[in-house]
Amino acid sequence: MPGTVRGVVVGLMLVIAFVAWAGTATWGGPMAFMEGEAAPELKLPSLDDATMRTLADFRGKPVVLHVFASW
Amino acid sequence: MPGWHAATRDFQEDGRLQVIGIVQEQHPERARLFMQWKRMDWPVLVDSMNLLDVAVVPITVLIDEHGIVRDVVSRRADPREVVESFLAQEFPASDAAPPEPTADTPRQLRRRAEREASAGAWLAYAQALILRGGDKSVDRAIDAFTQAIQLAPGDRESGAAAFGLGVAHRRRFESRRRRPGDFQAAVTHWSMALAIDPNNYIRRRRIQQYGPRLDKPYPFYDWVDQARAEITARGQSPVELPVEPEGAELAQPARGFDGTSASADNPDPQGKIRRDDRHVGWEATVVRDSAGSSGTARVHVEFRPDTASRTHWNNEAQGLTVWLDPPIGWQVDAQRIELDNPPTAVSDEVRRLEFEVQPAAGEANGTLRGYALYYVCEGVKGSCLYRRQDLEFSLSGPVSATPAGGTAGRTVGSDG
Repeated sequence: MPGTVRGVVVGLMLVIAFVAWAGTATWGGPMAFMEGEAAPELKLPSLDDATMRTLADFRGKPVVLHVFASW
Repeated sequence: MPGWHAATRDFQEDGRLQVIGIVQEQHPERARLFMQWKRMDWPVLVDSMNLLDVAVVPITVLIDEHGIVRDVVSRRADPREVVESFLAQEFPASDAAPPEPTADTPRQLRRRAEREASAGAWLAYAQALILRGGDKSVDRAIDAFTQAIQLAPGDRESGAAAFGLGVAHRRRFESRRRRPGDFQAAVTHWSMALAIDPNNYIRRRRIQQYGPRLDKPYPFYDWVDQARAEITARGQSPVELPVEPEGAELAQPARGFDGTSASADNPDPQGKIRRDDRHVGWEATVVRDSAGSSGTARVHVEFRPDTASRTHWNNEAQGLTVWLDPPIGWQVDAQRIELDNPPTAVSDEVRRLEFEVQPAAGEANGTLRGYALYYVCEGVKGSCLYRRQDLEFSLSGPVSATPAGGTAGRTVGSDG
């Protein structure tokens, strides 16, 4: 087939393949925290007084965030 | 975490950085006790449903002052080096505005769910109810999670809804609004969530917390006594725990099944003790090995005196006794279990016990039978009776939706 059409077809196939792969990819790591991306903006209750807070409330200083459990 | 605490304490006191925690437990107040014990005083947010969708804890994330993630730190890293290097860097302000968190109230989210009739909308509503609501919101959250699942969404939403449903059922089980089967429903739904994503260790740990010793990676809450002792010795009052860890949550992991299948000391081998017909109800929750490999199960049993007849335990006689009769080739960790009576002459508390059972090699499922013997009295000056109630525990796979249980005279078994 002509070069341009072939290029478009190949491009489409790559897009379709990528979408298919992305749709079936499993997640197993901390996908919530991606380097270079904004930290997730979840509103969660504070352990002390149950007021709803987000990580954005702490913006302005570097943050060391521990995601943990006591066990 | 102690290494990180030491590495960051000076910088936090100087105001050069902020340490924050996000705790992922069914009972976040236990994390408060842990923080008090270790003298860690930084803000902590609660994510009991794992909305972050992390697969494992602990993880440490470095976020710059503009809210951009700069590193997700490996466990092998040296905390001091990492923190110093992080603080020494300058990060540019991000061009993109970070997303604003949703400000929708549960009511707005409910309207959206009813309008859109999508799994995602019902899921968001259910999660908001659990995050913001008290015990009264749990019923509606359970309905909303169920709606989300019934709309047959993809894996991500199904898994989140199933896990949230487990959290909600267990929370209701621990409240005054509990319904029969809540604990088993919690376990069933956590198991569904794990089956959708077997690599998610938050989901796995939630099951293992209540599961058999062979499946435990470590004891979950055996540190609580020591924490309380040390806090008290410092002259402080330990944080109160609304729900005490017990049984499986304190048990040490085991490598092998230490069981017995001997038939000795059967207290009522010919079944001569009269069967109870109304005084005590029982319910059992079966928690299988989360990996499914050993087939071992931990069984949690509760006995409740009937309130309508004002039945209460007679503590001047022998304590409640359970006798188990494992099928051939099966083992239990104790064949005869006798509970100690409280010091009062009478009481009407819920009585709980746990035991472990391992099916025969090659048999994953089946039924374990046994019975309970107990002394109860009816009413203030009512008759006192010695009764037997037959028990049946069904080990079924992969998940059992119906718990074993019954009120005297009517035995309900979980489906095989």
